[in-house]
Amino acid sequence: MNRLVRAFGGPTGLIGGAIVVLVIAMALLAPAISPFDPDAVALDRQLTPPDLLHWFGTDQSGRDILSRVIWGARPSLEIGIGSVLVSILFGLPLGLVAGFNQGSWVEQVIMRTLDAVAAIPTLIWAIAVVGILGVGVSQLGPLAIGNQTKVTILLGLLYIPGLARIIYVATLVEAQADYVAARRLQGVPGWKILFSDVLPNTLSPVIVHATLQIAVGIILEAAISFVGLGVQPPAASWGNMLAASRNFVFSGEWWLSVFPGLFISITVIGFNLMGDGIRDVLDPRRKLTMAPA
Amino acid sequence: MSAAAPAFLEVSDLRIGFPGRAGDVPVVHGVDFALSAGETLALVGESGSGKSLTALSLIDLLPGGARRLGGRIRIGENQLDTLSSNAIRKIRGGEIAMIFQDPLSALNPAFTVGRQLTDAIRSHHPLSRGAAAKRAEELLDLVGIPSPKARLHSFPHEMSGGQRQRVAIALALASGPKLLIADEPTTALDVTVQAQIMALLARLRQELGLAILLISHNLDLVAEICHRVAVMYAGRIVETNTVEEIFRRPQHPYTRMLLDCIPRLDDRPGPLATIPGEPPLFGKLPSGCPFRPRCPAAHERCLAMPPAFPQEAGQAACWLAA
Amino acid sequence: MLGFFLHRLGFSILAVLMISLILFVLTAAIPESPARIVLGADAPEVQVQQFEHEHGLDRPLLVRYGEWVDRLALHGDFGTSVVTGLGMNEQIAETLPVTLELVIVAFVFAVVLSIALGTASAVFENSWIDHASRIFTVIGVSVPGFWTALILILFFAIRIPIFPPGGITPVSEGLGPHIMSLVLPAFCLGIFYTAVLSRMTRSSLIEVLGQDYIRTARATGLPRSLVLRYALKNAMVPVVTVTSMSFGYMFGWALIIETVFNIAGMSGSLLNAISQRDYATVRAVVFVFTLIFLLANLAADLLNAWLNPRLRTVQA
Repeated sequence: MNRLVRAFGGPTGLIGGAIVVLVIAMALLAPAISPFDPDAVALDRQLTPPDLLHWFGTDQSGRDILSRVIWGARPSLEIGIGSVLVSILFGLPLGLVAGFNQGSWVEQVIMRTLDAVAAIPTLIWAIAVVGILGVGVSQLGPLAIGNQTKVTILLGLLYIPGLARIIYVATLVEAQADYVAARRLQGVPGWKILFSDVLPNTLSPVIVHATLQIAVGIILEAAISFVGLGVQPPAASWGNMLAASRNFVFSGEWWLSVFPGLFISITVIGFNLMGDGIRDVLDPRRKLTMAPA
Repeated sequence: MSAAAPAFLEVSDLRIGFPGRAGDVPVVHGVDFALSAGETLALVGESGSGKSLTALSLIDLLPGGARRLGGRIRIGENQLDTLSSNAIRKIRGGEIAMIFQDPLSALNPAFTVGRQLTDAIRSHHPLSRGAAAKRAEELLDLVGIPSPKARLHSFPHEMSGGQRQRVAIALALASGPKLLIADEPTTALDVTVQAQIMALLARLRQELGLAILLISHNLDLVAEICHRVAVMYAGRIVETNTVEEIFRRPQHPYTRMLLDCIPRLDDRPGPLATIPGEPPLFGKLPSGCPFRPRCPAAHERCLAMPPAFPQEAGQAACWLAA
Repeated sequence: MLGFFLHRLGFSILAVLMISLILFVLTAAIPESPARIVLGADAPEVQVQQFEHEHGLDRPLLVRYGEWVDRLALHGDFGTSVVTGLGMNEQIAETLPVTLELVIVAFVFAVVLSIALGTASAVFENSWIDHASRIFTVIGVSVPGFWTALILILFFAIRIPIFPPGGITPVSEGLGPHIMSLVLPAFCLGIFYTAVLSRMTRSSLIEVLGQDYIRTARATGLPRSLVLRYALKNAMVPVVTVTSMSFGYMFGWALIIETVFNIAGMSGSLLNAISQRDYATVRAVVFVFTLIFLLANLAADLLNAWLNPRLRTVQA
């Protein structure tokens, strides 16, 4: 137990890790654990408050909110995690190459371009670009891209500058280390040093950043779905459930808005606590990783 | 120096430690010394001997966790442990000032030299900004900074290492203290600059009648400007004497070994002398004499019982010196 | 200092040009022709071509981009929407002040509160106030503001009607009601950034308070308040960057908060334009937001140069 606590950088980190594991398990096991079909309309049970049958109540179409919350974890996590993977796919090589070629034009071109892209406000652009591309399926050559994929890729692209800069800084530090100079003198080719020596040493900050960025991504997904540009109904997502609940706030049907939001909050708290904990373990000198979005 | 006048600083039975789960872990085990105006005392020892903690406790700025466990510190007419925090603040800079090892990190990077000096002056004397600026200029001139008026507008990073240490000294002198504590003031500097800073300290002592407490691990440097030396080992003063006597007749084996470590021009080529082993860890003192495990002359008596601390000059905490 | 400023300004101008080109391509080349939107999907090809010719839409993309930049840079004119026929400047002039007021109020709230909280937390590290503020920051960065908004409307506008449930009451109806209508939206918008910034202030200040120069300041007998000022100026260096970026980011979240509270700000312009497929208006709104974001970043650079004199000489 003690070792587990230490691996997560303390008790709060462990709590975060436990939340994350539980939420992921919930999403994976959704077919097995959700008490109802999340899309089953029951016109005789519209807007029932929480009771023993429907723990979280039902929505305007009589759908079970608990089941929709459980299934809604899937798009949130898929977009949150997927977008970070997209950003790593592009950001990692860019940051590595720029950091390893310090002083050359390659570094200048990559970093100045990323600086300019970093000057793009994430949420507004995400909303605008999805709006322009449309929420339907977009055809890109032979590929049919659904809206969820679009949002994932888009957020991933907008994350690149932040991630690449972290890798760039870590690479700069590593590339100036004496052991790298020694390896060069031994005649080891640059790309080999980059992948076998430098890359592993940049992973700690990347893991920390990625964990915290997943938290940001889940909130962004919810926000984009909230304005109707993310996951499209009738599929359940925490964001579009909140969007639908807006109409019932005034009439007092609180359960429609309380439960999806609670699950977003708990999940994001989980990723944030876990990220903080991992940072304390892997990267104790960096205190500030949290970036606004 | 003049034994008749009461010392400006008197430290007795000073004990410092870190509070731990199983009680306090003592690091400084009862240190006594005194210092008069115009006098320079060196506190010499390896890192971890407790010399810096001793110095920091004099201005009540022990680092996080460490605290004074006992003993008395008298500064002029003030007994440090009876003072309010505001009175202690007035003593800092007003009575005792301190300069540190690394002059770059010791100066605030976000403010000009002039601003830092005038703030220090105005914290103790109700002067106008203009008058304080004038005084700041005089201080820079006093510590030997060329074109002091222009330098008031410089930031620390725009100066050389030696100049920064001069500024740090000016800052320490801003409110006319009577005692200057210099904690390894030249360790971070080039060798040529080291000598200049030591010369400056010697001159200031003479011109201002300052008492100086020099913390160092370098006996060679100490010999240049100090009157007396107190050698610290494992949180205790093991020997204290005048510089001449220490060099001529070191009593404690540790002092002798420290002296042997200084390379000399007339040395025959050969390996430099070193002191084998390492100083004991905090709270893990060996039985008997703390220096016993590293002492070449240790015998049974050293194992059984610790020697008495020196009460006066020429004595040493060693069974062999008695 | 001037060199540093020009350097940063030059970068900002380049960034504006680059981003506006991306924006123009996204809004002018990718979506369907406005002619199809106005005339309908089954309008005859001849009519579409005539419409495009009349509105200059048949010219090469770069020419149209140049014209757009030219009109914008020289006359500050966003032009007229082909779809709605409305002038975009008027639309922005009407909705931007609403959003701007909301963001500024929320921003000031967040900055003041976060500096106070972060400083208290750092100075009294590990005290109850530190623990409480750390719990608050974890919750604050995790709970989405628009959900907080829904819950607060539910409790403090519907159940206990202290605040209006939506909209901004115009100042003409009294300053009191106006302020009351701002409280909930500004709180929900600002709380996330309060958490982010107080957390940064705390850790930055704790680090600075351990620096040698703070020990020097205390050793020279500076009063506590002055020691804190010495520390804060240094501690603010990393915080200022994030603070001014937050100002830019807040406009994005303001869109969502405006939607929750039915506030007639820029969000309405953007979301309406999206649903009407009025991409020229989307472009104008997004450009305004991006410009504000870049200006906020520029302000951050200048503030940083003031706080951290080493930057001025290194970068200039």
